[in-house]
Amino acid sequence: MSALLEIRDLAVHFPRPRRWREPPAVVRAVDGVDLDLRRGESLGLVGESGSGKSTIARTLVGLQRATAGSIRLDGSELTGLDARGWFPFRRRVQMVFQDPYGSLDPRQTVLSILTEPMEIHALRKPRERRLHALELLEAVGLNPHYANRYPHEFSGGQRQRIAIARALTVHPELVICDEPVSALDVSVQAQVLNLLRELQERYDIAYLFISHDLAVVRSLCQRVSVLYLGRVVESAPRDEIFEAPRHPYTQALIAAVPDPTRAAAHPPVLLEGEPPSPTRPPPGCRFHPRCPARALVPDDRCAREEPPLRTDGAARWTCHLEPGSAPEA
Amino acid sequence: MITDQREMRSGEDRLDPAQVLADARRIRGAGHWRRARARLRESRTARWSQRFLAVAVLLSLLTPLLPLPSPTALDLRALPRPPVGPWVQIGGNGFRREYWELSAVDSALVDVREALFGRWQTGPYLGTDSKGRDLLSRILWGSRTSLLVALAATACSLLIGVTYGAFAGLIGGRTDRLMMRLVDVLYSLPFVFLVIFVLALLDAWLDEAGGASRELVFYALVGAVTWLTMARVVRGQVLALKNAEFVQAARAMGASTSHIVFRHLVPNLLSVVIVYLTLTIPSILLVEAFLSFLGLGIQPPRVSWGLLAADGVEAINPLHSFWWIVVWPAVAMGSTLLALNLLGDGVRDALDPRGRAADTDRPAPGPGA
Ligand SMILES: Nc1ncnc2c1ncn2[C@@H]1O[C@H](COP(=O)(O)OP(=O)(O)OP(=O)(O)O)[C@@H](O)[C@H]1O
Ligand SMILES: [Mg+2]
Repeated sequence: MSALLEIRDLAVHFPRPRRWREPPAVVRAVDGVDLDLRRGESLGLVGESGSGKSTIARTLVGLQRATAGSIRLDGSELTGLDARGWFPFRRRVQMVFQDPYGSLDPRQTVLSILTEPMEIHALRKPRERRLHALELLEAVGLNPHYANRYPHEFSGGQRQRIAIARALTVHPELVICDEPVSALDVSVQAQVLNLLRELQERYDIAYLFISHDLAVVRSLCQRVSVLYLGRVVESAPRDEIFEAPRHPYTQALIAAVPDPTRAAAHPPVLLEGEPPSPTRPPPGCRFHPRCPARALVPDDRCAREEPPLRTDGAARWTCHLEPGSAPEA
Repeated sequence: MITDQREMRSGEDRLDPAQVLADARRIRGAGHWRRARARLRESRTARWSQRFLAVAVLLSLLTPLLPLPSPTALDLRALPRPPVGPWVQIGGNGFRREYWELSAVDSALVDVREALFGRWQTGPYLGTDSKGRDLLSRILWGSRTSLLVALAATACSLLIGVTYGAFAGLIGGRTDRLMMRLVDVLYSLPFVFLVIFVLALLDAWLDEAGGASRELVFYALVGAVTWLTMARVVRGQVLALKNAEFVQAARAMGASTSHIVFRHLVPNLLSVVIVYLTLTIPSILLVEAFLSFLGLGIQPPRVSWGLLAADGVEAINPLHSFWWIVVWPAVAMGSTLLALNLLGDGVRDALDPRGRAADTDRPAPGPGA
């Protein structure tokens, strides 16, 4: 399968608001991220709050400029494009936002919400836009007869369905979902996830699925990338991430999920401390101040050297620890 | 609240797509504007306010056509007459053009009136004031001044205020800060002193140019201050809307700035603008009344509702109760302002799809939101 999205060394820095008597600084929200996504695949992006997930999403849909690095969609470079150059790609990459209450204009009817992307991209004739919008409403499980209602007349789950339908109206190849279910009730979450899965098969869409709920990612994504402080620390197929995580941070994340089937023989490795500030990331491995495996690496290399990239089959991760030298987590 | 999808389907478990498509062809789009208009038509208060205001505006525009006694013809011998007959007078003063500067259109209307009614004119339906002038005539002629003031205020609020505020909010950054600083400065000038100052400054020149230009300066000053609040309000709204997620979503889709302005900002701003307009018009009418009362606004022999109020105050004395001199102008002004406010409320509610107590219906964001 061909690569749909290739991100290399992506960096997004924000100038920090100037503080009195302090030198100007930047927030390194995203700092050297590599991601690959194939057509029709779904990639989970997980990480703590503030690790830069939303920033990556906003950069991919052109709401945020990349500071450095490259984003290739289907072989075409996106970074450095001006608004006009980026425009055709905006149709191919759509986004579903976290808050279904905020992402739909309260003063537009559902029908006009759904036809808007087609209008912007001048797809179809007005009459056919309406028909297509109604079809999609049906496809996401809503009655097309509600097309003239306003968003506030729907529940959260229904609104998120409308947002999903809106993203699909222009036949995107990639849909970025930034925590699409975290604002929803648990019972509704499952329905929306099922819908996403169903639509993926039907329309052959790739998802970049952002979440900090590992169970959700596990149920939807084929591959998972783990973000820590603006960097990807591990990328691997779903089963490897969940069954045999390699990076100590991933291990800690997985272990933190309560799982009744896991034997008590593997006590959860709990992380201590707060994630450090992205303004001044620690030298060496960014995870070393909180890493439980740091003591296993000689010469305190973790604090001094960038960890090497290691690969094993489809999995890649960055860690000083030799594979196999740690007790299996 | 969380009733999810399938139950909204009408009965069947899974709709037949062909059926849905057939249905879909019959579903007509009814956009926000059309639905808002329908909601406005449903509101009885708004409908009646609309009618009242339409009649009021029509009357005030067509005043020169009506067979009213002259609003300026004095009759100093008699006491103020209460609102009693005769209901028709023949051979009153007619309309005396020498006391009143008429525009070309009004002059033509008076010609028509004279051709139609000759020397017929109405009796003192609402009584006469302390100088023997017909009150109904004065109220109607005065309404034209007030209408003009309201128009000047509305036009400035909308044209200058909305544009200025929206522009500052959209551009943001240093331009925004500079533009808003200017508004702050203008805001801090006390209006009454400003009027006194400017009129005093221009006095010599105004005497040469005649009374009409003094009024013009007054309208200009009213306009100059009414757009300030509107600019502030609109700018704040635009700033908030600019960062709203649905605007970000439109941007991510590739929407141009003009698309965002007309599709998202205008519909979301409009109700706020209308609310502030319905607040501005009454307050500016009161400002006119106040300044005319102080002798800084409209000058006799012209009439305005403010001057009528001033006359009313003079008429209050413990010996004779000339109630009509106070009551009728107050009724005219009060009912107009009430109708304006009710209409404003109606329009605002019609524009807000959530209707009245709307904001309570948004459930608290779930965990992780
Ligand atoms: N516009 C901005 N200006 C300055 N700093 C920003 C901006 N947007 C994000 N940041 C910073 O970048 C870092 C990453 O933010 P981001 O929103 O991408 O995190 P996240 O992984 O999505 O977190 P969450 O799980 O809480 O949504 C944070 O430290 C944040 O403060
Ligand atoms: Mg986020």
